[in-house]
Amino acid sequence: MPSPAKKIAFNSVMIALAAVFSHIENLFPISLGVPGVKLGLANIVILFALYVFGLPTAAAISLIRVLLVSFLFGNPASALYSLAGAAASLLFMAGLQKTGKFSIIGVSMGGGVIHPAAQLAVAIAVSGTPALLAYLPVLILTGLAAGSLSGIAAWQILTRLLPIWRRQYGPLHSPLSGEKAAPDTSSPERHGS
Amino acid sequence: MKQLFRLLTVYDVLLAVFFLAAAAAMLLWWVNATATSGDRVVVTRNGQIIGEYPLAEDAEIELEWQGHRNLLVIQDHRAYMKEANCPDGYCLRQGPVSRRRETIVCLPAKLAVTVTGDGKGDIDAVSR
Repeated sequence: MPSPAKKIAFNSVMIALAAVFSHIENLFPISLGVPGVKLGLANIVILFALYVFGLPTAAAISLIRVLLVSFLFGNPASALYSLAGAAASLLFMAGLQKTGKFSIIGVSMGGGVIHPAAQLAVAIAVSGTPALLAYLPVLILTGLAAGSLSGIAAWQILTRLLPIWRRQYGPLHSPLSGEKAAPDTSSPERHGS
Repeated sequence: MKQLFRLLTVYDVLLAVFFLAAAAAMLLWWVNATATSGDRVVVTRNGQIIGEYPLAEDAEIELEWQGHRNLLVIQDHRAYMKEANCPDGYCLRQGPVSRRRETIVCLPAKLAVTVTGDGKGDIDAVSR
């Protein structure tokens, strides 16, 4: 593990990245007629934090990211939706990760689906409109696709960083592969560098 | 690509299949549930019914509440949101609706327009 000062620097960079990713997504919304369809770029950063530093750090980054983006660019209502989605997806991803049976891609897919589902649940509770459930199948499909993509992105970034990270600070908090895959993810032929 | 397949576990695939199956089941149910056409729309605000309108009569309905303005239009047995002053404008892209259970939702205004009815407006009913 890096020194406390370095850890603070890492966390700050991750918070900034996640906030910028969220803002970029807000600037270019994907419009399918269904609210809540997003690429989930910030999820790449959260996954990174989850695998490199563990759940507490990922949770802190996620929370600060949501508050930052909501205060800067959104409103209290958007903070509520973002918070529900972020919290539910992070906890679900940490749960999947903890079973040791899912790779980082599977973990990310789970988070990608749970995030809009939790937001939908909040929307139904806030508006008292159960008819919103009609959006769920579309949100599951887009969430699955978005989760797979951000999972692949995080996996690619992590495999490239892994050799450097290991040399300096030792192993990651959590391996990228599930139990069923090869246990050592950092062997040279796996990341092909 | 090869590395990706080596990384994926059986459980990853099972999770994806589970989500796909769930979405497919819900979509199938939805197609089935909206198979019959309705004959009126129910307008709810905050879960409370604030109005009911027949699809058979063309109408323009102004809905105003706490600064939110929506204009619901019923035309040719179909309902759609013509105007709304909400920031996202999702409700404008959700219509027109005419089949049972089809819904237009405007979240900021907490407004929902749902098609109901026993299908008496159906072609089947006419031929009966």
